[in-house]
Amino acid sequence: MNSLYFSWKAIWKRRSSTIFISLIWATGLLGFASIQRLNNGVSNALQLQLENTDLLLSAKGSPTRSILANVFHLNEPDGNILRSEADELIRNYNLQNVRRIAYGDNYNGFRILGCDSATWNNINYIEIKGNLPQKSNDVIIGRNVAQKTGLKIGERFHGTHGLMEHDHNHETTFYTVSGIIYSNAPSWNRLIMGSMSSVWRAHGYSDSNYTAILARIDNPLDKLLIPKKIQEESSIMAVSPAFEVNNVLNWMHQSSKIFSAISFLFLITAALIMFFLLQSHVKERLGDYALLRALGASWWKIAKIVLWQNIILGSFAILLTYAGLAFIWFGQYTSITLDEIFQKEVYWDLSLDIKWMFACIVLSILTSIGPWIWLQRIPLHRALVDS
Amino acid sequence: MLSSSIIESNLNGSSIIFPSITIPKGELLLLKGKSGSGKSTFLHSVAGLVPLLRGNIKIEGHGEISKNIVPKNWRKNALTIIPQRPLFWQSLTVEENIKLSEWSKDIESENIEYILEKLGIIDLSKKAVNKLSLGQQQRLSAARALISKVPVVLADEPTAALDEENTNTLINLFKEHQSETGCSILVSSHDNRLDSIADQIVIL
Repeated sequence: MNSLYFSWKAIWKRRSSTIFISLIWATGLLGFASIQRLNNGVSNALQLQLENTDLLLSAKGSPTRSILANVFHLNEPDGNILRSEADELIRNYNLQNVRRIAYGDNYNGFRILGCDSATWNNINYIEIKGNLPQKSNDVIIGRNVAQKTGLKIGERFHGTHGLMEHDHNHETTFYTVSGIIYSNAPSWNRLIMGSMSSVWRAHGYSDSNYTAILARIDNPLDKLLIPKKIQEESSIMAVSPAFEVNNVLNWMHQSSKIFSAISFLFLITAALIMFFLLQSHVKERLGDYALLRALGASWWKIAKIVLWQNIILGSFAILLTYAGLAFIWFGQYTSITLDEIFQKEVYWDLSLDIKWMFACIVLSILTSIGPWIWLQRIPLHRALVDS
Repeated sequence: MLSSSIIESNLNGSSIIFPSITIPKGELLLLKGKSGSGKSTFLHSVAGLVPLLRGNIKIEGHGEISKNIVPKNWRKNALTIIPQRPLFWQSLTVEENIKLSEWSKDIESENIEYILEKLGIIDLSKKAVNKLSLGQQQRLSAARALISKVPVVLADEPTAALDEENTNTLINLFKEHQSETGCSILVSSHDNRLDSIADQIVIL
């Protein structure tokens, strides 16, 4: 038996106050950890989706709508762009990693995106089951599509006209699932991707226009100039998604800073409450500590007991925080938006938590200092007679 | 051997003067007196729990207490105490409270079971201490003190809650402990049953 054992027994004897103190602490930590995760999840998802995308060419309309539709695949595009004009722009401006996409139909509400192999090659895959499309009617589907529709590799299905569920079927054209992908850029996980020719064929054309073009620009100056020039010279809208999204991210970072500050204040309040609760906890046990001194225990031994008690409380708070995070994690399946933001790899990246876990343990040690000083001054005779 | 000069102890700002005593190895000194005469304060002064204003208390081989000075490890190595009111960690069992005492003194006793058996509380070792009667707690308090082989045992009213039989058991255990370890025992008590085993009686 050692100081940890005796501390544990003492804490367990006062279960209700132990849980109360830990809960106060955990509430502050949970606020902090969940805001951190939300912030990182959104930034990560947006940035991964934006990789190699310095330029977006699409039909004229709202730039934000175009980015949401053609980069994040969340909205409906404003229309198509002329293939000949787009191809000329690509040649003239020496664009790199050019990805052409054409919106097609949907299957059970999941969009079918016609694209070229450059698009497939630009996806950050965590896992691929099966193969990328080999034949003209092959499609790869995102993990969310597979989970929600039950489609498996080798299965065939018909698309439904339009981007929304319940439109009429294109029963003459079928698609075959050649692979299932899981990407850490969440948009890909809810798309069905095939060749552009298969999408055009489903609509009865052998050749058609693009919905959008995404490309990389290597020269930093060109990143600013090319979109402007294309806007002026052509009927195609050119926007810089990185620039637009960075504005959103900056705004988000400001908001999350405010939330983080609020939860930090809550954390400080929790620490102060905990400090006073621990003081009264020590006072309640004055007789116990006086007894140890009378039995011959050194001050350091008693200090270790107080320290362990606080560390156990801190550890309880950490466990409760993770229980709260797990609750949010399982709760997210009721929300489509959160499901895409809280990617497993980001959400459960525990390296993010090292700082606040460390802070929690440091706080446990700091809150022991008061009782340590105070315990040195116990009037032992009085404590033994009055206990 | 325990010896003290005339000492003046500081109890909450007021001072109490105690006579000098000497308890040779293997002897028992019985401290008697009315309630409030300062028996417990004297024992606590010897234990270094009440500060001295004047005089000194020596334990052979372990140094001495004087004004503002209590040698390091005084209560750990030089003495053991049976408090007037049995005090335990209520969150622990009988056995764990004994272990707590061992841990406090950095010792490992071989005679725990023997002492518990002698005092008739061996069957209670897994029981929570707050489930014991006052008499059982008193015996446990004595057992906890007697597991360590230190030169001085301080016992503050050790038989206050004990019946005749348990008092006799405790007296025998004191004698046995004394002959085995050669310790000096300082007992404060009103109990006349202890007169028979005392080598000296000091009345405050």
